[in-house]
Amino acid sequence: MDPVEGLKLGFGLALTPQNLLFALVGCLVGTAIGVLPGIGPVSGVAILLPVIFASKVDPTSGMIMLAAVYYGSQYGGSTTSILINTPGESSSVMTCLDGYAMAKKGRAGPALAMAAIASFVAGTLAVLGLMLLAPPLTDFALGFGPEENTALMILGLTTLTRLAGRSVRKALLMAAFGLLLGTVGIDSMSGTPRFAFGNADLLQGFDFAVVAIGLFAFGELLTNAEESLDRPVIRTRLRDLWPTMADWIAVRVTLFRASVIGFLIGTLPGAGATVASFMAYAIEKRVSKHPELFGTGVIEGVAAPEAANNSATGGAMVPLLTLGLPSSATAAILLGAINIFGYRPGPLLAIEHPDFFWGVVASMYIGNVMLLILNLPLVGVWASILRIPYGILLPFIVLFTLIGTYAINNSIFDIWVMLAFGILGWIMRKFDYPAAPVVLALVLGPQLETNLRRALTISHGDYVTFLTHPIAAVLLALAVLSLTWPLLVRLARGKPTEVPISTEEV
Amino acid sequence: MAIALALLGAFMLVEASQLRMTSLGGGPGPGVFPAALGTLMLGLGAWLAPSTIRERTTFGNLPRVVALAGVLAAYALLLDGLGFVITTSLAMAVMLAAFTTHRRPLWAGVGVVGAVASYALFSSILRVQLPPDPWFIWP
Repeated sequence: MDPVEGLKLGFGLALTPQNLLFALVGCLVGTAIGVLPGIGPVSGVAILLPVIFASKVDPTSGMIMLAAVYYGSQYGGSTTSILINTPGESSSVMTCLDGYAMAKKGRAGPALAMAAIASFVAGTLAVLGLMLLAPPLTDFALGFGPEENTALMILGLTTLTRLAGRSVRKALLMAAFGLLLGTVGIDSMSGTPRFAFGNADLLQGFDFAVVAIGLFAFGELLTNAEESLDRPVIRTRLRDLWPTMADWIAVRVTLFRASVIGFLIGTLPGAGATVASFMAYAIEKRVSKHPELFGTGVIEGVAAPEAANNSATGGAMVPLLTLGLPSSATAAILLGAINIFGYRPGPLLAIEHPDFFWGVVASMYIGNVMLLILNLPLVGVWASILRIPYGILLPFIVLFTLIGTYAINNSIFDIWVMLAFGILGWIMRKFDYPAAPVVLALVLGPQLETNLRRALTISHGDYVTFLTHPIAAVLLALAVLSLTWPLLVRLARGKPTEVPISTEEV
Repeated sequence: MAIALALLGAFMLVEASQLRMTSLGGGPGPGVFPAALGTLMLGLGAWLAPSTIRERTTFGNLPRVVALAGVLAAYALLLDGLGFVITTSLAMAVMLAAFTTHRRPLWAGVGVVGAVASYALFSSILRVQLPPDPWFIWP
C-alpha cells in the first residue's frame, strides 16, 4: 500500500474515540512507568500485555496502547532525571547531566518543557522516517526465505549481544541461555516434548512475558528492596515552564540533528534508545561552540538526549514492523504481542493487515501530540508521584507484576516461574550479566530454530546453503563482524578497547 | 554464575543427546539445536569460569530481599486455596507493614484496600481472569 494511502487509513483508525482513549491511557501509564523507579518500559509493556490480551481488546487498539506505553515511558524517564537526578530509564541517564543542573539553577520548568518538546519533534520525525523506510524495506524482505530469516535473526541476536552489557562473553552466554529456554516444551516441527521432565506446565514452554516480568520487573524490585528505600525527594519548585527565546535559538538545530541520529541508531538491532541518547549528547557536545558548559545546565544537553531516545523508539519500530526483528528487549515484547494478537510479524504484516500496521504508525504520531499537550500541565502530577515514599510504592508495583503474571495463562505456575526468574535477574545484576539478550533470544529462539531447520531440510542438511544465498551470506558476515569488530580494532591498534555503555533496559 | 550456567549447558547437552538428531526429511531433528546451545553454554561458561571465581559482589539489605521473595513464595502457595482478594490483601499488608517506618497499621490497611480495589478494577471492570474467591465473598 502507498504510504500516503496507508497513513490515511491509519489516521482514520487511530482517530476513533476508542483508539484515542487507548493511546491516551497508554501515554499516561507509560509516563507513570517512566517516572516510577524500579519499573521500566520492558517491565511495563510485559505486565500490561497480558492484561490487555485478557481484556479481549481489539488487536489494533491493544498494540496502540502498548506502543504508547513504550514511548510514553521514554518521556517519563526524563522527569526523574531532571527533578531528582535519578534516571527513570537507562535512556534518560544523559538527561541527568544538564537537566538536573538546570533544576538546581531554578530552571526545572524549562528543562521539563524542553524534554517534552524534544520528544514531540523527534517523535514526529521518527514517524515520517518510519513511513518512508517501511514500504521499501517491506518490499525487500518479501523475498526472504528460511535462509535469510535465519541469518537476519542471528544478526539481530549478535548485535544486541554485542551492545548489551560490558562483557561480550557474558552477553553471549545469556543469549544462549535464552535460546535454550525457548526450546523447552513441545517441538513445533516434530511434536516431540523437550526438557519438560514430566511436568505438564513445562510442556507449554516458558512464556516470554513471564520471563521478562521476572528478569526485569521483579529482579529490579529485589535490587531496590536491597538498597535503601529512602529515595531522593523532589525539592524543586516548578515555575516558568516555557523555555526562553535564547533556549529556542540554542536548540533549533539540535532537535533535528539528535532526532535523525536517534532514529538511525534506533533502527539498528541492539543499539536502542540508550545508545542513541549517549551518542546524540556526545555529538552535540562536540559540535557545540561552548562544549565546556555541557554538564552545567545547558538546554542542548537536555534536548539532544531526549530527542534521540524518543526518535530511537520510532526507529525501533522499523525493523520490528517490517522484518519482525526486535532491536531491543521492549521491542521483543512488542513482537511477542503481535504474535499473541494472532498476526505474523514480518514483511507480510503491512500487506495482510494494513489497518493494524498503519493504525499503529498513525497512533504514534497522535500519541506524541498527546504527550506534548498533556505532560506540560501534568508535570506537577508526575512530580507528586516522586513524593510518595518508595516503601509504599514498592508493594503496589509488586501487586501489578503479580496480576500481569497471572493474567498471561491464568496459572499459578507462572508466578513460581516469575519468582525464580526474578531471583535469577537479581543475581544477574549482582554479577553484571545482561538480561536483554535472554528475553530477545527467548522471543526469537523458536522462529530461529524453525527457519534454521527448514533451510537445512530444503538443502538436505547442507549448511553451505546459508553461504550460497547472497543476502543470507551478507547478513551472516555482518553478524560475525558485529562480534569480532572490537577484536579487529584492537588488533589493528594494538591496544585494548571496551564497550563504554550498556543498553540493558533498552 | 558462569559455572552454574556451564553445568546447565552440560546437563542440557546430555538431555538433548537423547532426542532425535535427524528428521524424516533429512534435516536436523529436535535434538540438534538444543545440543548446539548446550555445547555453546558449556564452552562459554568454562571460558568465563576462571574470571568468575575471582568475582566478588556486595550485598545490601539481604533480609529485605529474602522477605520480599518469601512473601511471593507464600503468595504462590496460598493463592489457589484462599483466592485473589484474601491472599493479595495479606501480602500487601505484610509488605507495607514491613517496608514502611511510620503508621504501619494504617499502611497495612491501605494495602488491603489496594488489593480489593485492584480486584474490582481488573476482574470486574477489565474482565481479567483472577483466582476466584473460594467462599464467594467477592463476585
